[in-house]
Amino acid sequence: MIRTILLICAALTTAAIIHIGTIFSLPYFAKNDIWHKVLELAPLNRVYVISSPTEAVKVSADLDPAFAFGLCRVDVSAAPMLMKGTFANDFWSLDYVDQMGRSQFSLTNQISGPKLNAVLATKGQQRLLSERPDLIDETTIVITATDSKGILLVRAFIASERDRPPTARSLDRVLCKPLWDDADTE
Amino acid sequence: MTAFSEKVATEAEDALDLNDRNRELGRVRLIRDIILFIVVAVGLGIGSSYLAINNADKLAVFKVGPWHAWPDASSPKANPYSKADQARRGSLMLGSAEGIAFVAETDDEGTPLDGGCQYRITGSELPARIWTVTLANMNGTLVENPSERFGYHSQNVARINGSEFEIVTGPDVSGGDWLKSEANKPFKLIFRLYETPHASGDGYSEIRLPQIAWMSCQ
Repeated sequence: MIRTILLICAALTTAAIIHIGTIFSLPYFAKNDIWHKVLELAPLNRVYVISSPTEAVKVSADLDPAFAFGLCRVDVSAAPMLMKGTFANDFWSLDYVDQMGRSQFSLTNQISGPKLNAVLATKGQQRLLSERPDLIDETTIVITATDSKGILLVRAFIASERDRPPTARSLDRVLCKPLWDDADTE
Repeated sequence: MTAFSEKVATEAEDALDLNDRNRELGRVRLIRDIILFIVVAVGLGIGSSYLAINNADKLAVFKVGPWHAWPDASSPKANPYSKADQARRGSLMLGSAEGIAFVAETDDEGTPLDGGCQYRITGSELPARIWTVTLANMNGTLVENPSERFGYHSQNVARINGSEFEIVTGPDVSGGDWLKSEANKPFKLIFRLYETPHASGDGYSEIRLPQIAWMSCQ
C-alpha cells in the first residue's frame, strides 16, 4: 500500500514537471507561430504587403480586415534596421514583435505624423548611434531590439475600400533595410 | 537415512520454487508499477498541459458585458499559458500603444451567437481614435459575401441621432448596416478600439461597449 502511494506521489510530481516543461517549452518549439508563418512569406529585410482581408486573416486571425499590413522580417545582429515610409491614412501604427510573437514596442501616427522613420537597434548599437548622430535623423524613433531577430509590422487603416490599392503601394514603398552595410563599417 | 535425505532434498526444492515464485511476483509488480507510473505521469502531465492551453483564454480576461479582452496577452508580461497558446495559434495581437480587441461569442443574454439568427448591435461614441467591428467564424476566418463586407468602422458606420449606430447581423440581406453570418454556424464578433486610454485594461469597466441583442432566428 505504502509502495503504491509513494509511486503515485512520484508520478504526480513527474506529471507536474512534464506540465511545466511543456508549457514553457511550447513557444520555443511551436512551428505554427507567427515567426514561422512570416518566415515562409516575407524575405529578410523586405516589406511583404498584405492588402487582402482574407489573406490577412489567413496569416493570423488577429489581423483586422479593415487594415492593410506591411510585414518586415528583420535581423539586427549585423546592423540596426531602418524603417521609413509615408502614409496618407488617418491611422497607422508600427509594432515591433519578437520571435515569440510578443509585442515589445508599438507606436501610432499620433506620435509620428504621416512619416514613419524608426530604427530598430540593440543596446550596443544604440551606443554606437549616439556617437554617430549623422547616421540617423533627429526625428528618428529608436526602438530597442530585445532579440537579434524579429518582425516589424505596419498596420494601415483603410477608411474606404478605394484607399486599399494606394495604401498597398505606400506599404510596398516602405524601406526596411540595415542602417549600414558590412562594407560601410570596414 | 535415505528417507531423511529425500525429505531434505524435497524441502530444498520447495524453497527454491518459492524463491523463484517470489522473484517472478516481484518482477510482475515492478512492471505493473512502471506502467502505472508512466500512465499517471505522462497522461496527467500532457493532458493537463493540453487542457490548460486550450483554456488559456479564461485566464487574465477582462469582461465587459458579452465582450472579453486580454490586455496583456501579447505583451512580455503575458502568463506562460497565454504565451504557449499564442505560439500554437500564431497570433499577432495589437500592441499596447495600438489598442485593444474585444471578442463576443454570445449575445447580451449569454446565448452563443448563431449564424442562422439576426442580432442587433447598438452603441454610441467610444473612447478611441477609431474602432472597427468584424464578424468572423469561430476559427477566425471571414464570412464570404459578394460585397466583401467583413465589418464596419467608426468612419463608415451610419449614425443615428448624431452618435449612435446600429448594425444588424444575419444570413439574409437586411437594410441599413448589415453583416452576413453563415446559417447554422456559430460566429463571433471582434470589436477593436485603436488608440484608446483603456488599452492596458485600466478603467475598462467604464467602457460602454456595444450591446448585442437577439432579434429572430430562421
